[in-house]
Amino acid sequence: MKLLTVDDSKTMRQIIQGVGATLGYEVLEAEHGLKALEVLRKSADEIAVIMLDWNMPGMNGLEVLKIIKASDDWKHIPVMMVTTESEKGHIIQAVRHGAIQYVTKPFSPEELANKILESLGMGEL
Amino acid sequence: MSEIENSQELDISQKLIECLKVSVIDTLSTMAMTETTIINTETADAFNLSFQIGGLIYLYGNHEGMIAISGDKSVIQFVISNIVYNPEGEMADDDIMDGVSELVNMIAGGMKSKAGLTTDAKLTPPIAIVGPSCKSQWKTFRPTYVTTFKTEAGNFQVHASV
Ligand SMILES: [Mg+2]
Repeated sequence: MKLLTVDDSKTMRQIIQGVGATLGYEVLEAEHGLKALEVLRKSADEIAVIMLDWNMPGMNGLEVLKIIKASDDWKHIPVMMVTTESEKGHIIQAVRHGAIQYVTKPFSPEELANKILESLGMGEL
Repeated sequence: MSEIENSQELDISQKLIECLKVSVIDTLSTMAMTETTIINTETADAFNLSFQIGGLIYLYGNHEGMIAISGDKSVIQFVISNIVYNPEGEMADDDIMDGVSELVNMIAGGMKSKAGLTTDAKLTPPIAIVGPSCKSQWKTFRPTYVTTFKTEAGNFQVHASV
């Protein structure tokens, strides 16, 4: 199984690649929402967890989340929000629309790794 | 503006500056696993930057201001390469621009959450500037606080007028 990171920042995608590698997962990347939907259309069967940035050009993370959770083919995939938006209102909105985890930047690699494992239904590192 | 309103504005501004400093140290220790210390904070009467690498982000909505991180290429590259676990390699300008954007986004986002600003205070997408020698200016009536931070690779600065 693979992880999918959707983030407009290459730096952030590289960090998530690093954390995924530590956990033994290949990480697929999308730099915006439309690209993420394209990856899902092709590879949804292989994706164990999706990590979504909030602020991206074009569709924001919440809009992408809504599309994923409205799709019968994709709604079973756990979605984590990984974002600088730490406002309570944002967290509530994301959870209400089906996000399973909410990670705010900055985070330590261990913190992200543990949140990924939790999303996969596994214990901590 | 009445004197009371004026002093409340000043209080928020001071709080934001203090939260920003903590956010910089937190961001570098958690994301870059790099220890950073504050050398000093000075007040400037203009938001003028002179640097090799800069990242700027604008705060708008119910509270307005500009936040910037700037420094020499060697220092900013050191920080970014630690964030992406690539401590040795020479980085391309595009990667440095992406990194400094994400860095200023994270420190400003951290400031916002530490200060408890509401959703009505928003951040624009960041702006990154890379060059051998750049200057930039933002027009503001407010004072600018310039904090110099020390890393093992050298110093960088964070400008804030909030
Ligand atoms: Mg983003």
